[in-house]
Amino acid sequence: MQQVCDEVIKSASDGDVGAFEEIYRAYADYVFNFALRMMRRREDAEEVTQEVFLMVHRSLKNFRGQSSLKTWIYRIAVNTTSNHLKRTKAVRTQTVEYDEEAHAYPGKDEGASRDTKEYNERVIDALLSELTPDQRACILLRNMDGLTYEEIAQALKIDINAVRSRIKRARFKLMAVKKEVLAYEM
Amino acid sequence: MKCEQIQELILTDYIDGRMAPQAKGELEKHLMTCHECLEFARVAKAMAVEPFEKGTREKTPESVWMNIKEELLSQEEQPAPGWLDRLREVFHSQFAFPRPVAAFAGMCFVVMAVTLVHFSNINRMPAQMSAEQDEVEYMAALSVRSDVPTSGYGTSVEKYFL
Repeated sequence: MQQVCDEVIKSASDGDVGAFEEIYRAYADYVFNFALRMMRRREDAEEVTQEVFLMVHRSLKNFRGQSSLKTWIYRIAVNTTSNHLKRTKAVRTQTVEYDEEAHAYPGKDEGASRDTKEYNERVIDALLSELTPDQRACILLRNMDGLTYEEIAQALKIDINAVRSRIKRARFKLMAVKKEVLAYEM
Repeated sequence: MKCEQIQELILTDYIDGRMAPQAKGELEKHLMTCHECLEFARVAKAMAVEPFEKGTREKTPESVWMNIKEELLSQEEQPAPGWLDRLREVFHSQFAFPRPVAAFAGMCFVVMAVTLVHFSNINRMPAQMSAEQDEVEYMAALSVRSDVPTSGYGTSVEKYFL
């Protein structure tokens, strides 16, 4: 992950759009992919990413550097995604338009294309669908984005033991997914 | 260490490479002798870690930045905040309370104010009543004053006519 220096942060907080773009370019893909895995819909992920960076821009003056910029942005991303999930969940239970098939496990007949990127993405999507949003956030931050337990604790504003506990429970759940169902070669 | 504790460590600190060398050595020594824990470690890695390692990262669509930039530039075009806005901002930054706390404090204030007004009315009522009572008593006292004769004023004119 590209690091952003303090001068850029200072300039961005003073309203320099060019400096803010540098921050955006450094972290946008992480925020977008996190939101995409959490929300499972591109439109939602794009909306969340936009919301996150507008919030980052508004709040940059209050950034004191107590945590790294990365974990601070992740914290905003986690909160925004969580709020968005609650909102969209309420809407979807009313409209019943959620496409369950798109998040089902890849079938055995798809074995020939197991090495493809698309197949692997479906496996990840299916595995993540087994987890609660809190567990999903922990697994994504740890396994996909490589955050340390300490950084996850800061991003989620929870105790490090709570991070360990969520990761443990999430991985237990993932292990419980039968390999026949997953059709995943171990 | 029991197998249960070993398996908990495998799922967290061992898989994520957070163990101290000595503890890690002890755990791996256990894995060499315990087939169940060794299998557990293998499945844990295969099911809970490796699929994510193969995950790809998508590029954020450029339209997202364009929307953000447009929003930022439109904010810049708006007039600079006046001294009142700045004062409000400083107040918010110094005394920012979560909304529920502010709502609760407001509710407490209203309850206290209502209670205060209610009790002050109760205390004032006897005072009002005693003032009215005093007035009545005074009037009554006037009508029975001993120095004023009730049958007349004792003048010669009065005597003449009576």
